[in-house]
Amino acid sequence: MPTVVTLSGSPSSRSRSQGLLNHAAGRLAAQGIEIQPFTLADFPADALVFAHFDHPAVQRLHQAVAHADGLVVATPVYKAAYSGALKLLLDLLPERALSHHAVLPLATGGSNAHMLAVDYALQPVLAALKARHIVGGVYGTDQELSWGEDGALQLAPNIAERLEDVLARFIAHLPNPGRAQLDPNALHDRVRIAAISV
Amino acid sequence: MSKKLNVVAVTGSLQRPSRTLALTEAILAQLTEHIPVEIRLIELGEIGPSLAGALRRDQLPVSVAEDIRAIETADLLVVATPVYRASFTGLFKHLFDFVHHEALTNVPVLLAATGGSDRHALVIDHQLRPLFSFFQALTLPVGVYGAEREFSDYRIADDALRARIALAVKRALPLLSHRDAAIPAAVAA
Repeated sequence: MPTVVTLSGSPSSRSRSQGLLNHAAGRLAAQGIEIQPFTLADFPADALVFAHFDHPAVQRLHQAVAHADGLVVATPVYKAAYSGALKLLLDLLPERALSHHAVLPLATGGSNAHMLAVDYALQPVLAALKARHIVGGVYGTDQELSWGEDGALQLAPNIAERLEDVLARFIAHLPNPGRAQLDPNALHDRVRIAAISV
Repeated sequence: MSKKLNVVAVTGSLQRPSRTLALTEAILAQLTEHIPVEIRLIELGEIGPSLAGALRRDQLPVSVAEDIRAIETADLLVVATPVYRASFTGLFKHLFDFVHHEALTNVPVLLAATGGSDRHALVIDHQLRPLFSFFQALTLPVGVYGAEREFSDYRIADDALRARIALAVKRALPLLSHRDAAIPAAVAA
């Protein structure tokens, strides 16, 4: 069974980026993929700030990433870049930590004007960790991600559709995809009409 | 500032009419309202055919070589490009590949770009700014990005964009000076 680690770069638990990440994790889990989630709250401040590689919580992250097939990272866009919170988590990873992984970036921001933060701020950091393959990510604005009355994040149709596409692509790039497929026929059709590339 | 400021503007537009040209002209007009300027406008659409065919400086026609010399001796550069593939155009980069790597040291550069939607606004900070950072130029703090919806009939039709142009120029003014006063002679030579 493929395993995917999720890293949440939001400092708060109720955030759009966390909600988008939860949604993506739920869709992956429904395909039989094991999800191992990590957030800032999983680490004591000392271990985060001084990157204590021997701390048990950091060791758990290292083990999880080392044995995972993929990584999903989510961040709010702060100051036209990824959050410091996400960078603290990424700084805990050893060099070349992602060299065997497919990586899917997710980001949320106040307006469309910061969409390129994914390509020009976040992706270079993932590349520095030697990510084997970075799947084109999803960027959602506050208008496209709203809170429902039940407290769940509502995805605008265009974002939900894009997320399905990139998750299919992400699964196709997992080094050990097992039997997990969102819908092989739908994926094949999209590849055939070049709506997405794998 | 009594002596006119030597301003060279480069617009990456490849055709007329052009939103990028309109944005460039609006920035230049705003500058003109505040300080005496001498303006040279270089349009990539005009010099493109002879520029694209040249790989070395000695292959450039005299007029284009003069344009590059003008860029290398400007007091202020105003550069604007349409967004292609989330970056400046290839021709825009090709032009600056001919500019001497030490000729823009400390030269203020006002960055501007136009794109189809807001989604590419960060080209200013993630593509244009690093290019001029390589030149050790003084990239001005406020750049101007204009989205297609802010133009009508290739003219600026949005007060927010006008306000950004005004702000960019206002923030630029305290940083402008004549090159011979600010730059060592070795670079100007």
